[in-house]
Amino acid sequence: MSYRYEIRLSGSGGQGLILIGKILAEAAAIYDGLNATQSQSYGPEARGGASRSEVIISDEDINYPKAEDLDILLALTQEACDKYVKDLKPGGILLIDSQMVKKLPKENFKIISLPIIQYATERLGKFMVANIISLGIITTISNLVSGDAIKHAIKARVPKGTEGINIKAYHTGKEMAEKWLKEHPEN
Amino acid sequence: MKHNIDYSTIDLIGRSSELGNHHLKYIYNIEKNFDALVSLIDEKGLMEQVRLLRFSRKPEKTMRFITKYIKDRDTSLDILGCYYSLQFLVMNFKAIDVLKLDLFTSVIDKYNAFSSFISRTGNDFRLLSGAYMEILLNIFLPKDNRPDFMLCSVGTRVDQDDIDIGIIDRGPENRKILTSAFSSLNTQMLKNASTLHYHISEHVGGIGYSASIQEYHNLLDDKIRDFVLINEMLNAVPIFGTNELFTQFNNEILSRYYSHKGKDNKYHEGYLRGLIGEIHDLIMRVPPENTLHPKNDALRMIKAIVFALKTWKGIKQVTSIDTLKILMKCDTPENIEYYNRLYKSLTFFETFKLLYQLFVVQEEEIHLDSIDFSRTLEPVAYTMGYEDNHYAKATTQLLIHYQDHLKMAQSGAKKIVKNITHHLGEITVFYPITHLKPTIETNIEYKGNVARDFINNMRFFSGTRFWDDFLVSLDNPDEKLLNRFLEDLHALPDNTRKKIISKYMKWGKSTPYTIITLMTIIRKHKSHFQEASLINEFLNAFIAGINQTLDDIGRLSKVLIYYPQKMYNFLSLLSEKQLEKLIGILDIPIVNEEVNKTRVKMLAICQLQNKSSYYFKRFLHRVFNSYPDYIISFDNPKKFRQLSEGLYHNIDNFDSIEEKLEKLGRYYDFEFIRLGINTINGTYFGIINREFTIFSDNYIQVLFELCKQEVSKKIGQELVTKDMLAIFAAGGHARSQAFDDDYDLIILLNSEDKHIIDFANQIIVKMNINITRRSIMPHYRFADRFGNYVTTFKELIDFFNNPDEETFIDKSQLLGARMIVGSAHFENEYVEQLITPFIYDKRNEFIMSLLNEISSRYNYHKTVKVLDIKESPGGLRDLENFLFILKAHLIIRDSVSIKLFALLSRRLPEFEHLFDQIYNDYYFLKHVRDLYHIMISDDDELQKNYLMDIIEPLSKTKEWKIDNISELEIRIANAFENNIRNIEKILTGIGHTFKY
Repeated sequence: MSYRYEIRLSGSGGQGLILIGKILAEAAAIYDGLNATQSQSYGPEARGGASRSEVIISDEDINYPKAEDLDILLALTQEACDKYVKDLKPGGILLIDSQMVKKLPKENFKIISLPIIQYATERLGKFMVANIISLGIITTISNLVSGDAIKHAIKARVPKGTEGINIKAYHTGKEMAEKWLKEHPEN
Repeated sequence: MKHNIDYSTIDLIGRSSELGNHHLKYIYNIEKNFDALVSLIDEKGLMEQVRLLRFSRKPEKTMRFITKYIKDRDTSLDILGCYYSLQFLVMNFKAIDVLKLDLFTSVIDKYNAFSSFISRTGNDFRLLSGAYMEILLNIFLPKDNRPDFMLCSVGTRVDQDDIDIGIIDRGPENRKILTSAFSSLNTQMLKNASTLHYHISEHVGGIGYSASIQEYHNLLDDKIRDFVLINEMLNAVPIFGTNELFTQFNNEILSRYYSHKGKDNKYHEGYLRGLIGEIHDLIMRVPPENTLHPKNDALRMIKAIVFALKTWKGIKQVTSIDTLKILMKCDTPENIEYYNRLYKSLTFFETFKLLYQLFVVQEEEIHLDSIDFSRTLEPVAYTMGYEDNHYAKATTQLLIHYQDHLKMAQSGAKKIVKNITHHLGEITVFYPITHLKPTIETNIEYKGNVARDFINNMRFFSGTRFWDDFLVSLDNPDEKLLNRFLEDLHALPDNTRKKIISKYMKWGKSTPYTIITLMTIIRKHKSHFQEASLINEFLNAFIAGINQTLDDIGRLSKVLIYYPQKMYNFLSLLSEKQLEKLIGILDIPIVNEEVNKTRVKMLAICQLQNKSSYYFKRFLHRVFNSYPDYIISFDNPKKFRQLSEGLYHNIDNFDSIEEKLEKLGRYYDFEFIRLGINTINGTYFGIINREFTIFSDNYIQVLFELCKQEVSKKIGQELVTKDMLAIFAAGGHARSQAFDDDYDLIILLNSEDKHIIDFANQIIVKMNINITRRSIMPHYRFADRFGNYVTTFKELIDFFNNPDEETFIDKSQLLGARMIVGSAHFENEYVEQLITPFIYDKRNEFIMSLLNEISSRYNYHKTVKVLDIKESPGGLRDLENFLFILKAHLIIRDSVSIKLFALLSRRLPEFEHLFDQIYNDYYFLKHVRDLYHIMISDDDELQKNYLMDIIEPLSKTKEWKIDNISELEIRIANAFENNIRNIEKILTGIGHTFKY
């Protein structure tokens, strides 16, 4: 059966959300042979400091390019969570940073609250890799793209010399997601 | 596979390692399909027609060969992707090599080399990507089944990280076919080329990648909306499709954003308002210290100016660089200079950005705090013509030039935006409102309701941020428009006025600068009571509308950063309750680092405002209005200190005494504020007192010199006052005590010469005026008694020879006085003629008077149930009198300071532990008093309800950890009791009969 998976990555400027959108889309399209689109927010909202990137992955043609019925919403700020949670479909996954998003919405979806930024700064010593940790969590939970594809795509997008720390960040995210899945076997 | 032709990608792939990792995608595609591509060329004998390892001017030709000979669609797509990838890499190497050659040979000017690099690479990229998209669409959307559409490129031609496109169609009926085709195109572009972005279709139209002209009408006819969307539309260049559609789009949608003389220009005006708002923000933007962001730092600003100029001057369909070239050819020489600055900056930043994205990563932001950033920037610097040399590395030179070009862009932008604003003033639909008449030629009074009509007409322009033209008219000194605005607002029925105010608040939510300015303009022109309830109504509604979101706080932050004075004056308007509400909103962290930094500053300013006494606010107001830039640095005492030291040392560099006096006053204000803030922040009281004494003494000394010069100039002669005239600080200043509400001075003259007395009096009159300007009341001891500011030795000697009951108070003032201006000789004479004969030699009588004073004060105050830090028994006054007694008893001249306590301990070692305790309690009470003066009121009678405010700063000091009001009250009461007990013990111990 064919599928269409919609992911929105949201937060604020400087969190590298557009980069992980590109990585995810390229991993799916180039290395796993799927169809994918990626888009990002422009305009005054982006100038205000907010950031949003969307990825749609499908095994068929993507006829409708806008993500409006989200399977996964990553929200790295409370504001992004409040703003976009309405677009999450029933049963969808809301992935939030436990430090940044304290006010949790009460709807029919799964909430995964993890200390993404804390792990980035404390375990990896770099706030900047919180995005790649998020990517590791998303790809592990959704099982959308293969580990090899995502690692290829990460290496092909990050600056030279930072491949190691970014792959490490991906693994950190992957482990966080695996631990969460173990603790929540119903998922 | 072995081919007949010797094609090798070894060199190409090898060289690709120079480029950023994102090129790996292309190498992946090449390695996967190169053999198949070469085999095809080989088989079909096309080796002479196909250029694989050189950039092709006709890439579509090879692409057609591929699709013609390979029938399997997936294979054809893979081979096409491989060919595109090859050409893409070759194109980038060509771009880099030619730029290096141009810069090396110096045949053309550096900026023209940059310009050629950007234009050439942009054109090559469009040629290659356009051909690729066309060939792909031929596959996904065969011509025989193709509805009408026009594919336009809408972004910056040279940007390779994504390709911004817009697709115009004829409407929803055939959209499904287009959407399906573009979906497939999208995937191929993502895999083998650059991601496509359909920004326009995110806003216009429904499902799908394309939108019809009618849908553009539906979205844009009644509101100006997002100027970024209009930028993209105006950038639209047709790539392929039905030309007629583009012509119609151009005529119906695009052309209305251009200026049309004598016609309705509201679309053009709205677009300009959006652009100018953005340009203003970007001109004033302070780039973060640890990042470079060419787009935010300069490119957005320059391009916004170019867009404004294009639509004003009617320049169509060319790039920003070409637009500036056209303007440099045809505008006035004065403007050409500024266009040239913009041109140089634009080419520099575009080149820098493109090279960074080629060599490093396709990101906009460059972090300077990463360890490798210098090494990472090396290829960019070398390619831009910089070389390592003995004084600076190439990357260092590049970074310096980056900043230089930033300033160059800002200076060009400032001038040109003025021209654009002037043009806006000529075409605005608000002309009848701002001028209260329909046109310049007529004199018919505007009939409508200004307040209502303005906000209602605003609807079309909502979201645009430039309204200075309206605000400047409101701020006009003639107050014509402001009065009419207020009258019209009051004339509205209550309900309507409420609705109108809420519309203004909605406007202010997206552009808080406007509402903040409006409020401050009303307050500036109208007295405190005139419009108090209206302003209150506005303020309550405004604050109620602020949310703890990045958007809202981000917008407020911008006002603080760009218009600190306006923000400060706005905060000064807020009542305690409103301020507390705003503090509550600002208390929550914001994730965006830049916004959060400003939020913290804004919160601190609100807290400072909320915590400051009126006494301290007077200084804040003066300083922040003279040097608004320091509002955002108020939490940086070092910066404050630098400025005040600069002011102090710069005084002599001014020619006129007036200027010197003004700078001296500012020096005083700055130091006062700096130390006040430091006190609130818990700086050690010893440091505060010492620094306060230094600057206030500096102030009096220089003030005396300047006033003396002024009087000498006035009377045409300079009288020598050395050894004859001295200024003494008495009271708190004599005891090196900070933040006294008044300034007790004693002006003494050891001469009876009438000229000298008159000269000295004139100096002090001038000094008096200047001290009063600092909101500090100077008190001249003996002035009331003798009728002159200046008191002579003879007057005092006569007075002391005929004492009255209160003479001991005057004597204690003299004993406690500390000389600020005067000579050592004078000090000796002072001690010899006044202190020794009338105090030391008559100390028993003097001490007895002080003991009686302490006792009688105790009897009076023990029945008064107020907490008076100065007058309560055991308070500061008792301690001061006690110290006078000891100074007289031990014949000590030193003024009250830490040194005096040390001396007393040495002279009366048996009481050393008591002096330690007195010292601690004395400074504790004094510190409580300082904080109370700064934060609550310059009053010594403490109001218990307000004590909570000083708990926090008090607890910051290491010595006194106090958590709540009752602890503080207990601590104060203990200090009083300790003092009473210790004073009694010491005085009795040294032989005086004394009991409280």
